Amino acid sequence: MIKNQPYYFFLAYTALVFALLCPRHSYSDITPAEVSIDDISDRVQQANFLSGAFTQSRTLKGLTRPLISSGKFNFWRSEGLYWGTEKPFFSAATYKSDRVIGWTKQGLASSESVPNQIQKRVGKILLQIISSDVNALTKDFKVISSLRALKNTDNTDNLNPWKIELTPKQAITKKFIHTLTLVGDQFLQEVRIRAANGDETKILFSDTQAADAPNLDQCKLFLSSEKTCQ
Amino acid sequence: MNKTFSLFSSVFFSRSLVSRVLKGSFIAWILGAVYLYANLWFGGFTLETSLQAMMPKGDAHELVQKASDKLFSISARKIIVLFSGEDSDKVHSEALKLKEILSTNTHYALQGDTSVSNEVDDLFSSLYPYRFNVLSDHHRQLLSEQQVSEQQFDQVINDAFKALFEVTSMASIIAVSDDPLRLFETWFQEAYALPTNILFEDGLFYIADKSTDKTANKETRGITHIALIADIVADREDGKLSLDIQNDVNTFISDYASSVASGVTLARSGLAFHTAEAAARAKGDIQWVGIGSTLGIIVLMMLAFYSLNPLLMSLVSIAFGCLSAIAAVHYAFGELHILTLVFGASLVGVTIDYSLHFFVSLYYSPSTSDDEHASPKQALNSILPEISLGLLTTLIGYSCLFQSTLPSLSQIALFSVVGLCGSWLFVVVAYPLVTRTPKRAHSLQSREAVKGLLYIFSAAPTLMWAQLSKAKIVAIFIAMFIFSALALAGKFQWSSDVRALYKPSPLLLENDIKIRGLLSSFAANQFFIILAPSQEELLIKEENVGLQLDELIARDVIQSYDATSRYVPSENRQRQNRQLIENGFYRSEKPRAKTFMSDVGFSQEVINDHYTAFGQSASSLMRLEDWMPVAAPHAKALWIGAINGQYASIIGLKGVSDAAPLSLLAAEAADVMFVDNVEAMASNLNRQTLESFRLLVLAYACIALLILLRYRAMSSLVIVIIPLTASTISLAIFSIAAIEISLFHVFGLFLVLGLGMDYGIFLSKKTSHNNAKLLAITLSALTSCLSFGLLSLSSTPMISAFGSTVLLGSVLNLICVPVVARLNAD
Repeated sequence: MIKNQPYYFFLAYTALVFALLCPRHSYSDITPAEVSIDDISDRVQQANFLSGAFTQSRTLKGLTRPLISSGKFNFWRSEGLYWGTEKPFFSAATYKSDRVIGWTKQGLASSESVPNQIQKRVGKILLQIISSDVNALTKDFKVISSLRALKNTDNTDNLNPWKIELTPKQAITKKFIHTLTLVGDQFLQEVRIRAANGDETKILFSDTQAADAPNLDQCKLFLSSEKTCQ
Repeated sequence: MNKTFSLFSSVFFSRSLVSRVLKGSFIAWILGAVYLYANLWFGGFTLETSLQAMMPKGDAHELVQKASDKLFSISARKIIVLFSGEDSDKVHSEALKLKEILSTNTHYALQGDTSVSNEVDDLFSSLYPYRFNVLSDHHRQLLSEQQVSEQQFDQVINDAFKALFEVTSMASIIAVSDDPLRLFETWFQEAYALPTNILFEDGLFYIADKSTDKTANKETRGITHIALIADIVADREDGKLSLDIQNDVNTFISDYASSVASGVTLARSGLAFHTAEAAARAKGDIQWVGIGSTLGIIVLMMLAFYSLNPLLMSLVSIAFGCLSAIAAVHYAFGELHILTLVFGASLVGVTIDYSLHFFVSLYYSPSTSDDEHASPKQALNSILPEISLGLLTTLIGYSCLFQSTLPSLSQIALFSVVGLCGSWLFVVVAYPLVTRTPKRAHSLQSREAVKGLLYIFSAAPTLMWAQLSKAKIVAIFIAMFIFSALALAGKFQWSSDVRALYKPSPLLLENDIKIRGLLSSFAANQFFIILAPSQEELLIKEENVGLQLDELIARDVIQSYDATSRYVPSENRQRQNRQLIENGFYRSEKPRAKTFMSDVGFSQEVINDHYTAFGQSASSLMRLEDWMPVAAPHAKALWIGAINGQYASIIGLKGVSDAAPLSLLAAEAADVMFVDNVEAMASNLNRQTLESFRLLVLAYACIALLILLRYRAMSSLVIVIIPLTASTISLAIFSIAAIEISLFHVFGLFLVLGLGMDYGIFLSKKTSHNNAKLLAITLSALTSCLSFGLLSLSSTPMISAFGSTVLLGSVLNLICVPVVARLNAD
């Protein structure tokens, strides 16, 4: 028994290092099992308001290096999505169902436009993605695979990571999305969108926070000049 | 002269030669009709029922007509079904259910079906080679300024750079390496954009209600509207829709509407629904009017003649006239319009007078023998001069309609003239051959009481006038004319409301307004027609008009416009665009595109390939022929093409709030026409009403002249004054009731003239059988009142207008006509 102790110690150490090095609940390190859409839906926290940071990486055909951008996002279920790129330059817009509001770095509304068909379609899919509304997504997408980890490292079942791979049902959406992959636990962690022409967009989410309602600063990002936040 | 005429007519009609001539004419007439029907049999029969064809056509300008037809052919086949409700899932599932049903039905072609993705593919691949020749309005304005600053170029590049990182940029239709500056993509989205309140997905149009709920979101709040748009597949060889298919579509959607889940409402819009409704309503009207009037007339005839033979014979004579008329009109015009059939047959209905006079003479006049009625030959001889003069006056009256430039009026004129002659010929030739002298004993025993009642009824107006002196009668007539003149001067108004032709049911109207509010589409009745000697010049002209229309959009005069040049710019503009793009981004001394691509991180190989593609595309220009095969039907309809040695196209307009600036634009530009069909139709209807009215006045003048020539006495003009009085008082009554006078009232007045003349002519002859004549006149007026009076209750305004005019006119004719005999007696 004693002779074997360093071996156990090494295993425990390795496990600890891995646990510290790997992202929390990384899906890839855990044995997957098939899971139903409802099951995934139950795992996702259906918050009214979500905020956090993102890192987007686009790999385009003919490009020698990926285009990387990062910034902050705010999702308000009833209002839409604020997507603020901060690096490599500032560019922010709020995507609502009937308009797109552009913002200056100082937080002032710089433009308000009516989204075109493509922006609307993408905006709608994006809202479903960010809120991890898998039930809504499966209306427009076919599930290729839906998996979850068998066991979490911390044994808490509700944080069990999951992964779902989807393909569009509609011919029109197929024009720009070939496959859509979502990975998450109680919140969405990663989205991978492979376009029909081979381009790929990968978005990693971090520091996601849930709330019942936005704070005053967040609220302002969803309302144009004629309305005010309480 | 008078004596000579009477002598001549009596001699003329009594001759056996004349009888043989008439019989010969009758046989020739039948042979002619058989020939025309044989023609019809082999050539095919076309009954025109479409609403548009019922409307008076615009100025017979071939081009306007062609353009209208083209836009109309697109809109006529389109149906829109809108589902609305608070529960978006329910609305969605109902819409989806109908979509599934329609997609398996070969009668419908759903707009934006799965084939749409292939269409986008086709469109994209056919436009891809010309991607360096197009610029959106925004980019063109930016790059075509006299002195384009470096900042402006930077703006295009910065926008392209930003777009690379935008989260929505994943939805590009073209690879970044093919369109790094997003110039083509911006143009494509501008040219092929759907209205901004609509989201199209998988065959369903999700519509945000702009007017009521600014922030309406399909999933979360407000009312969800989902529309299905389908084209009915044309089932006729000429690409039009038959009435049957339109009825089927209407029935199917109506049935479907009643089966949708609670909480979901279904609204529908489309010309097919209106056509089906108008046809069903007209059919319904005709059915109950037909049954009602037939029953009434049967009772009347049974009372008068104790036999149905007179009725059957009358109907056969009218049918004979109408059948001849149908063949003649179809032969002359190549088609028969339902309007011609309805109004023409009504006008030919005046010939029931001839039959009634014949049978009254046969049943009620004493003959030489005490035991029997007059023989058919005797009966005919006693009425022949009058019915012949009646025919002549009515022919003169109706043939005045030939003067009209409106094809449907000419059709009605030909129909009624042929129909009148046919019916008259049938009465004078066939009646004596096929009718028998009724037994006097028969009528004596069983009919005296009824006969007495009928005599009293028909003699009542005569008794009324008999108590008055001639001077008093004249005074009464003058008073009636003064009263009418005052009423007309005060309130008379012509109607130019096109809704007189057809007024949709409130439900259909409400549906239309709802759908139009949500889903505005290009108007089929207001558009520009542009003319030029060549395709290229035409596209250039369109682009120039487009600049002016952009200003009108900014002034909220119109919402938007659509033109071929938005899809296929003129070669001139394509060259300009390419020059602007080349000067701005691809010139060797300032290769901004290259720098941008390199900065972003494209490999040298990709950049070289892109520049090679740009160089190779220098001579390729997008042509109409490339675009036409892949263009959407509504866009394709904008191009009329070569016509009369010129090229023509349409600029479609959406959301016109004021037509005046558009007319002004057209007036100031050469070869640009603004077509406003509703306005044109209204003014045309108005013009036709006035024209028919003038022709009616002319008819009165001609008939008055003929009567003067025939009777050689001013007092004979009283025959003309009877229908004139009836018509004037009818118009006065309409005016007092604030009813505007339309073309169909004037049609009615033509019939009032024909009937009134017949009555007057019969009573003008001094005989001892006035009672029999009065009875025939009363029967005629009553049958007119029954058949046309019931029409006045029709829900179709034009039929109601016609019916009420004839009803009023007939009653007034009947009341006034004994004056003719009264004045003659003095």
